[in-house]
Amino acid sequence: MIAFDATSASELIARLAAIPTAIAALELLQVRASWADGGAWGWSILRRELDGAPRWLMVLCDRTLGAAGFTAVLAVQVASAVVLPWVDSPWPAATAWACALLCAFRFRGSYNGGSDSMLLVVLGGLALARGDRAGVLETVGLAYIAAQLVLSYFVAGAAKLSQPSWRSGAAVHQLLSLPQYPVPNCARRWLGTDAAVRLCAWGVIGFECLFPLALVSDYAAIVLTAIAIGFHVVNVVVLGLNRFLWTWLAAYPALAYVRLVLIDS
Amino acid sequence: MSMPAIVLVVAVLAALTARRSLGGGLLGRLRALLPAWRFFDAIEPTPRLCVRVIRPGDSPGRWIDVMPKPKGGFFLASDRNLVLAMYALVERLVSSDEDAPDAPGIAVTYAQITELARERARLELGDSGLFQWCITDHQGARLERARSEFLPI
Repeated sequence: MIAFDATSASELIARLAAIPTAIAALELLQVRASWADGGAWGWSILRRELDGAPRWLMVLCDRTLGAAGFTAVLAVQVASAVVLPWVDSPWPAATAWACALLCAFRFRGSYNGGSDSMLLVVLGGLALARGDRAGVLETVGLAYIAAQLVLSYFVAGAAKLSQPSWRSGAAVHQLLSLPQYPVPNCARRWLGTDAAVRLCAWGVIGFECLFPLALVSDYAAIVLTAIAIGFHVVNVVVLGLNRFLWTWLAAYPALAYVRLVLIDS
Repeated sequence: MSMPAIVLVVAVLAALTARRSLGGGLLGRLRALLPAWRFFDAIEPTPRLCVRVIRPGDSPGRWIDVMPKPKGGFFLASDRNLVLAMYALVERLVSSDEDAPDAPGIAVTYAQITELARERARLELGDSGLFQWCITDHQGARLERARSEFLPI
């Protein structure tokens, strides 16, 4: 039996979370023209939505979310990602969490949908866990990450199950035809029949709805984790959702901790 | 009550709760803290953003798709994720989930889309002329959802 405790779970989360934390900031730095002055996400446009906010808040936002300030925020996020695995302190995770929240706030709620939310979950839980070694907040932080991980699959699965288009498999056809996803031709060929899309749809619904079983059985946890990793890799290849793979991967040590340490004991 | 049971109860309650919009403004901007996790539950046809240009002394040209083709890698995919953000922005304007019709958020989304269209129009026009954008659905017949005035480049 491998010794696995809260400290090793936190260390593993820190190492894995460094990747999506850095990716999120580096990707935005690469498309700076789109959020610099004159871009569609320029702060001069986005700040109009905050008209009527307290003056101190507007001053703070103008300083941190304008082109120069936001470049600095992203640089701090990259630096936090670099030190995250090496510095055993809550501050790198808390700093990265604050940068990620500023980023979501700047982009009117989120830039990359659910991956922004899961990154906040992982970094917030990690900061909490590292701030109270062997204390109750360490357990709370890791349990929070694990609970959100399980919720992320189960809620998505239950929502799909309630949709007739998912139960018939038509939703998979529709998904593959959306222009915003770079679906490879081979994936279109493999999913070219009604039987294949129905199988794919029910496979996704079944995996997502059954994911809470990872909390009650070691075997289920291993099998579901393996399926989940494969699921996210396929999502990168078929839909191009690169950030989701790395962000969700970073949450898995918390699930292992909750399963092996909290529940088994 | 054991921990798996608690998580299961919370998960079932979360799954049964309908998605609620937080609107625009401060609260909506913090919605990443309250994830819905309902990925791809209802898949709708994606609205398309098109632009057409008028060169000085000419009539309007044909509609051109504004959105670039998504491409990217396993680690860094900045262009692809930018394209996803562009599509999300267009969806935000035509869906009623995010903002009330008179909310300041609508005007902001409109201005953002105008900038996306202006950038594409500039490739056609250079620095002089007019452009117009429209958002269409492709549900059988082409359905127009929104259209701008002719705007200076």
